[in-house]
Amino acid sequence: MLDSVSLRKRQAIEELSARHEEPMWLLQHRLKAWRLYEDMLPPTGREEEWRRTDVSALSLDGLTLFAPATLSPRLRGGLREGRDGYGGQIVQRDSQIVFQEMRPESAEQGVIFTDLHSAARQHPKVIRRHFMTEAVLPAAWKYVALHAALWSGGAFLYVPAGVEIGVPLHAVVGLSSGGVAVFPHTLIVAEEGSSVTLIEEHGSSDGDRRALSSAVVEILVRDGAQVRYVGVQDWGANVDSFSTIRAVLGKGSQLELGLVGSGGHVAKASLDAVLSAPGATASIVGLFLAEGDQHMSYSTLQDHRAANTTSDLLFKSVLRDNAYLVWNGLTRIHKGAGESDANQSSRNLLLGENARVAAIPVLEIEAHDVTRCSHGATVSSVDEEQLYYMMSRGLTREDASRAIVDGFLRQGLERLTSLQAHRGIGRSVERRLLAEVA
Amino acid sequence: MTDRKATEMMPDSYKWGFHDEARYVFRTERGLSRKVVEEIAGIKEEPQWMRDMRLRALEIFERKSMPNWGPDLSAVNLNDLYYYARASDRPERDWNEVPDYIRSTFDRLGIPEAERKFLAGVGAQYDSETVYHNIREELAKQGVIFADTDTAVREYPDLVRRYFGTVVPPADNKFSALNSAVWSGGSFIYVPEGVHVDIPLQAYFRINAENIGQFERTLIIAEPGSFIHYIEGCTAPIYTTNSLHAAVVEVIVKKGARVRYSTVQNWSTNVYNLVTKRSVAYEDAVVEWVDGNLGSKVTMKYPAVYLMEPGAHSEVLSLSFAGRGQHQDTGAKAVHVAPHTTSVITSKSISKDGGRASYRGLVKAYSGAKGIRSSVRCDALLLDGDSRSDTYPTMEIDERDVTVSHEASVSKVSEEQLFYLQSRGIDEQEATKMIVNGFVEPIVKELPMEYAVELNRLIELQLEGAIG
Repeated sequence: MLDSVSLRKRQAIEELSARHEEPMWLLQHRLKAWRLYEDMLPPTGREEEWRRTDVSALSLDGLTLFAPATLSPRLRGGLREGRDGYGGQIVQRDSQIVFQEMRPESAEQGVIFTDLHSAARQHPKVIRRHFMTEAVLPAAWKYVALHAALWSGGAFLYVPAGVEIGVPLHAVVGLSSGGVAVFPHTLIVAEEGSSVTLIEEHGSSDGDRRALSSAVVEILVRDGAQVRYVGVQDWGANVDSFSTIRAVLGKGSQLELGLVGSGGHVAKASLDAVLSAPGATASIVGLFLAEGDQHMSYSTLQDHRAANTTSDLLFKSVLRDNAYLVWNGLTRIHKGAGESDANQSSRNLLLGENARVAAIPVLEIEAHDVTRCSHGATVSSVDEEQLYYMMSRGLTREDASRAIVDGFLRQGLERLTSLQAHRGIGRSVERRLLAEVA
Repeated sequence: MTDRKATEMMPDSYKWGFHDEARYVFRTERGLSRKVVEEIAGIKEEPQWMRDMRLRALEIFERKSMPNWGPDLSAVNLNDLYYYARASDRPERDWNEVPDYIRSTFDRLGIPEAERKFLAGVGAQYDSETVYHNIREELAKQGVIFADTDTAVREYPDLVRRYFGTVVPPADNKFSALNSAVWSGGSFIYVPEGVHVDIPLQAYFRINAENIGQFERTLIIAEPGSFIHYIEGCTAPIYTTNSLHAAVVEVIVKKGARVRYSTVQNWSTNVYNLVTKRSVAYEDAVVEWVDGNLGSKVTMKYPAVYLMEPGAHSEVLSLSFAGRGQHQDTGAKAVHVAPHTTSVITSKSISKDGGRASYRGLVKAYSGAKGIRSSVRCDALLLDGDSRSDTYPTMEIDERDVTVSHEASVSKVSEEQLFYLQSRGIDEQEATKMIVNGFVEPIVKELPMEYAVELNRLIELQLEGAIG
């Protein structure tokens, strides 16, 4: 069945696997995923999920699917300087990991924080058990299958039962140039009663040639564990980005999931919290700032599969120029998931003359004894009365407007306890987001 | 389970489920074809333009696929329906001339009393043709036209031709195309400039024969500064195979005019009720849709308002009750084309006995629609663990100078409320009834008294079945 083109790709996959010295099962996993990718139909653009997004942003035409990278001594020095706030760092540039380290005391507790390729060699059993088996399956959709075939880089974070890591860990993916497609994969396994924070940043400066990022983040939060994950996306204007982030929550576990997005050309992400056991709690915060012709599209799922589960979502966006933000937010309360509490809230500030928002908050409820299930969405411009009030106290219109936007986003940042608890890191994220406001 | 519950849940005990033995002067063959459409136009002796429109619509219908984004329509067999049936030869104005067996059906629905007490005019649709029509003299004197749409095509051809299909074009969706091809009956209302019609105009629609689709077409034109309240309500006999009701309603509300359109839908639970209702509102016009959906197997209905000029305001009140085997997929659309327009959508739904109530709506603001305000509020009540409630709102906002909000909540009848009422000696069934009544009250109170009474009675009947 293999035609010449896919045969070439198949060889590319075999080379990629050999380069990472992967065990046979992982190569088979990639090849199987490639066959899935070839069998599955691409979106036509008429699907509800896709009708507002340009499907050509998925194109692989002219892109290198694996780009090796090196780290300059200068950048390496910079990373060492910046590590202080973190308990460990993994840095990926283009398709390769270029830097990683972790505080020794964490390693002594059995914590694994390393790139996924090394993990597959050093901890084959753990990886084989958790990698794309539970949170995100290769068959989820065509471009997840592609990711499963071509993934390279990313991080593996394993926290043994009962271990609490006080300082956040840090993973970074950067691009040195255009013309590249990257497929970073992050897998977090927080065993029973453990606690951990991971802050992941994806970013690059604006390039001339188009690039593509197709990331997958899997988060397994076992019974009683606590995971805080913050993804910061600041791609250059030449990058189209598609991310699949999916967390599965065990009994009494807690997840705090933050997404801070300000970059990219087309940036589309799906974000699922699967509350699979009683007492699970998920708090999701999204903060987005788009300008120019940026298109951001987010699909969220708060999936209540068990009784007594709680989820809360807050999305805030500030849109300038011709920016367009789409939010499809689904809350699903399954049969038997009684006494559940779900909330969604979307607040959108339109600043640009041609800025647009499409907000589709959906509720699907099959259990009657929900404690509360609600959603709200608002779209408005900067309040003229607030502006007037501030201008009457001597601020220029621009300064007043900036202060309002600043306050609007800061309210969202304050919901991310993972950032609040570590002021240095919180400030750097805040600086980056609010710098765009200026 | 009490005896009462058992009998009330049986289909043949459906309160308005009686039916007369149908006697038809004429009906077309089963299924849809060019021949059937030409026959319908021929029987009605329609002008060429209407015949052409029907045939064009048929082509569009055949091209379009079934909507796949909502309820399951796989059981709708469009080839197994009769598309036209006429029970008496011409519309009657005098009640005494209406054939006895049709009158007896209406008697049981209480139409003559309602008319005596309350109504300005009655256009009651028995199957596909209006058989009874009466307008009070003073309305006719004011220049108000209230006719069945077939009559209007003959007697007011210029008016009908000018507006027909301008708000809901045949190509809008598969079922508006179907309606445009085979429509029959429905109301035509024309209110001249400045005329206020103080009493609601009302029509009953019924489906009476097995496998007869009903495709009424209603067109309302409110000239500047006028006011009209139109009420449609329907009850239908129960049959064993699925019936289809695919109506199209077009409402044109000109500068400063106000139209209120109220519906109490209680089709029997084998009917697919797939309706396109849309209005256009010009400068300072007000459109109000009050839409109560209690019956049918599946309803897909989203009354829409296009706010075309500054100052236009729309208000939709939607109430749905989904019981066993029912899927109410209802909602509203507000499309802000012009600046300084406002819209309010309030939706209340109740699901019980495995029923599914879905709110589906759209708020759209076009670029340039500055200073618009829109507010949407959806509340859902789930009465048991087998039932389901969904909310599918879409907000497409292409203009920054707007204030748009959407809020929805889903709850159960709260234990605390029940406990409070029970502690005051009210039994659980009565307490639940009170809570549900309170829940739907904001919408029910907008209906004329007789409809409010009927709606409350219907809800109570459904609740008694549920609580037992």
